Amino acid sequence: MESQTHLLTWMTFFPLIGAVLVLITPSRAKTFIKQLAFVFTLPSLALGVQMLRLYDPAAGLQFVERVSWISYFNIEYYIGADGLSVPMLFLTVLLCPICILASWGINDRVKGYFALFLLLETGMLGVFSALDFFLFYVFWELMLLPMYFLIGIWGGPRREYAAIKFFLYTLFGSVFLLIAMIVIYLNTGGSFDLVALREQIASSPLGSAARVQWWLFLGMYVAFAIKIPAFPFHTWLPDAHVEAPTAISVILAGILLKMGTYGILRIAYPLFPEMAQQFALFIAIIALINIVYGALCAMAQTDLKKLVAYSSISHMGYVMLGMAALTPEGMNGAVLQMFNHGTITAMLFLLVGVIYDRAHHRNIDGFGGLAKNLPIYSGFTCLAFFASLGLPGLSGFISEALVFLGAFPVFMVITIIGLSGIVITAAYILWTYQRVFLGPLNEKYAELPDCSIREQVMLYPLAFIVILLGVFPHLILQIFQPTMMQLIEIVTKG
Amino acid sequence: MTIGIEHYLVVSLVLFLLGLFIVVTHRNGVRILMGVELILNSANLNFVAFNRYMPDSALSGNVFAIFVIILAAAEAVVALAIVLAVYQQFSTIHMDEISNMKH
Amino acid sequence: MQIQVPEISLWQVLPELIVLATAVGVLASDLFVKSVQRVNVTLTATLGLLIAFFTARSLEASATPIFAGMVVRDSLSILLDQIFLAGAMLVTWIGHEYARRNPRQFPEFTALVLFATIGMMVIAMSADLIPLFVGIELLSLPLFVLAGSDKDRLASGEASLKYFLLGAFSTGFLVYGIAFIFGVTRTTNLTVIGQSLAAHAEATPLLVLGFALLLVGLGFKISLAPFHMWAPDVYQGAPTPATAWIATGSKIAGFVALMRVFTLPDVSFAALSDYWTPGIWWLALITMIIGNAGALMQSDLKRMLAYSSIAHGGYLAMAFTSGTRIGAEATLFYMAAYLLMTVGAFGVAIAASRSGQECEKIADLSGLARQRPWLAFAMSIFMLSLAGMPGTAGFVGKLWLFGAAVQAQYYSLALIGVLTTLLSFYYYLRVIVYMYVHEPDDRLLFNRYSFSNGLALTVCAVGLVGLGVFPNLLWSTIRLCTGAV
Repeated sequence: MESQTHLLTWMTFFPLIGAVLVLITPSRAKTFIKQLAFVFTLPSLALGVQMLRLYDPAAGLQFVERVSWISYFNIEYYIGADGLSVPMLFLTVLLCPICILASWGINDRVKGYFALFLLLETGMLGVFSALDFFLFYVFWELMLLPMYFLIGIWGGPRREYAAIKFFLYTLFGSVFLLIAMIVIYLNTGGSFDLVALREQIASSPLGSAARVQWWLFLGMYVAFAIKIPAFPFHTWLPDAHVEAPTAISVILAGILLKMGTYGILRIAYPLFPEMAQQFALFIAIIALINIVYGALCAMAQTDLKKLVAYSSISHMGYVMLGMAALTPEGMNGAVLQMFNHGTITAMLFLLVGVIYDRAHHRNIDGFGGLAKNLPIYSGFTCLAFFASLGLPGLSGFISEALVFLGAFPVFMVITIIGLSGIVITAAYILWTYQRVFLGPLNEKYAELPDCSIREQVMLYPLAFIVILLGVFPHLILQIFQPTMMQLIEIVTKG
Repeated sequence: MTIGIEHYLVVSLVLFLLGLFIVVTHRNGVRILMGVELILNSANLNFVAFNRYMPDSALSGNVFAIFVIILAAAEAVVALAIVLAVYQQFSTIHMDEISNMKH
Repeated sequence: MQIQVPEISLWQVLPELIVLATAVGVLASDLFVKSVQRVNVTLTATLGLLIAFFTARSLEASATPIFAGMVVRDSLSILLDQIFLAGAMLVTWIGHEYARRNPRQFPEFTALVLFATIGMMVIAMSADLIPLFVGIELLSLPLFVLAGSDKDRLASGEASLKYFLLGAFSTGFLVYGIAFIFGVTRTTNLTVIGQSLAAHAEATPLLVLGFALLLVGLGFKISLAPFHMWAPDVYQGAPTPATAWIATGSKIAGFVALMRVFTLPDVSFAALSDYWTPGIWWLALITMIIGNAGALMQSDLKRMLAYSSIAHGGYLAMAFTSGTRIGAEATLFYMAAYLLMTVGAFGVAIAASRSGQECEKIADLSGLARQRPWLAFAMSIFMLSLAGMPGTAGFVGKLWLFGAAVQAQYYSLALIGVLTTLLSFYYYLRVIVYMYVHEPDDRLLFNRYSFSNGLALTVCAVGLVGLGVFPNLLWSTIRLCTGAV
């Protein structure tokens, strides 16, 4: 279905226009730059809402735009959205304005920060909408750069180390993606078309070369696993999170991590369905390690932000487990978990940022009794914490339940062990909540102000979504369910 | 004994190796230059010899040799100018002593 | 004996003649004009190069050799002429800025750049080993002098001497190799050599020795490892604008010579590719590794760029080894991209000086972003393009270099290439980190940079991004070239 409205293009490149405008604004107009950046994330959000309204789950690929770009090499500007990308695109356009609000406190090199941030948004939206392999890769790499600077310039004390570690890890992975891309291109007679590639691969010499396929799938898996981040490639994440400014942590956990799983579902699975089956057990085992190991690590942390970072590793394990199961419940649960984790973890990082702005430290044992003086703050935190541990009625519960339901018939032992992750999660979250908010009030923090209006504006939409999807999960499930069913059919048939 | 092309080639090879030997073992700028000249001339000898023993009267060997001679002269001019300039700065043209950059 | 006078078609070499006239005019202006204004010299050179550029554009390509089979005006040579002329213009512009602080070298600097350019253009159109050799010498001699032109710095003299001795040495190899090739094939004409080799592709020891020596000779010129030792010293010691032209023009011309001799189909040694490919394969491999490993350890900006340039020679050689059409196209595209990013990087090195102090260490760039945001931004583009970040011409170029290697089934070579590229991100990013993250130390402010330098950097940066997003702009021309040969 060819779109006449260029909705996705506008959505993707509006922030870029904003970035250019920010760049030509004099650097002294700090507040104006912030306002400008905020305003330029709003059209994308509006278009995102419009996209949700217009999207017809039964119709497959929509909002397609296709223009030849580098004709000699068959590279196209080919974008579109299906049930898998729509939730991710919406998540991105939703989180970006919130993150701009969360960055209001940035006062050093404001111009550079907001220009890079808007560039980052364009890159992320591009990744989620690209249907041309080459275009996907370009956006994938393009996004890396602003992220590197945003951590490396505006981060914490060890920012340079964290930024370069993040950069090199991701780059290392994308090299494999690049190699896979070139090999596929050369073997299919020159195609980057992600939609058509599956059949083109099947009918090319690659289709029968199982060994080559195995290597290519492994290469892609490594590229995406680093982003997820799956064990043993996860070590960049805690460093990056601890050093990154709040808003960047939100983007990192809320959106960037999803790109790993998104890439597997968008590229690796459909292109090599047989390998997807072969690798299922392997991915499930890695998922299990992520779930349990991530949760155990989170338990051991004293830094609140690091705790949330490790909980992300654990929660991304659920996504991988659901993906590996290849059952309807598992796959749908995985995508739902991607969206839910995006909103929940965004809340968590925002909340950590709020308290860090006030207390200037994140040591869990350094607080105590905050609930007494900060009722709004503790309320939000309570909601986010419970959503994170999977309390029924909140969105996290639905997706986790679906994942385990889907995985149980396929990987019985793994699922049973994986369930222990939920217990550990409940343990560390409740324990943390108790240490920070309950008990006697730490006198040092008796005078802390509660959430400001700006902070509440950031948190309310997320809280609303977390509750809404906890009660009516089908609101979003129905969007991607047909797409996922189709993907399962492709993979299991192959 | 008739002098064949092999003899020329052997002489030229000896010249080439001598030149190479000088370039590799000597550290004096001018001597290295002399070694290079030997190498160029060994090539010239080759050109002329090959040309002489070719059945059809091709000229390009001789022409090439003339070009090499001309350019070698031009090179020598530049070389001596550079050596002079370096000598003024360093008071030596010994390659090991002309070194002020960190490696 | 009847001597046939070959047809002289001077208008076919008009661009070269225009550059020659400009160079002589610039050089002579010193004699007749009392005090030569720098601006006038640069303007004259720019004008001459522009006229030559558009003359080259308007030439009609033809595959028939002219001047008794010595040179050929095919579309390849026309494209390369334009690349060299554009490069010479950029170097003149960044040199203009350098000359403000070192006025003694003017206007000889500009004239020498132009003379070297003629050599490059001659190489680009050689159809015979004689003009190829003459072109190499025409290009090398002015560069030897340029390297030593800064008489106030000891390093410049050292660089000049080292450059000269190794250059002359490599010329010896080159000539000796050509002599053997001539002895075996009885001709120096590349087309005839190609035909006779295609007819009976027999690798006699003399022939193998011949092109091995030729390869070594050219390997020195383009600083392929293990013949690269001169490059870091020369790049570091030579005045920066001279370094820029040595690193780009001379290296590209060297690759063009390799291309003319080794890969063009139906010409020269293409028939014996089984013999020379393994050689270049290994050279490319070693060069990529040594170049990148060396660059990692440098704290001197120019030395780092020298090693990075060695590494890029390795990437070019990798695609070159494939001997395919896509390899040739990728090489040509990357040459253009390489020219822009390297000249740009050296241009920033010139512009980022503080009063009385040239930018030498990478650390000297600290805080550039705060004081000269556009310089830092442009330098970031150059560094990212050198590293191969999508959105820049460096990425597109590298992608097709690797693609050519993969297509030729040089998987291990491509893998090493990709891994070393990965490594290279570290040292290129370090430059950006210094500019953006590190605070300027309490030293003097950066100088204001001149209009000409700013223009050159803008052209380079815009060109890199433009070619990165719309590679078609250049690719269609390149396809014409490789389609013609």
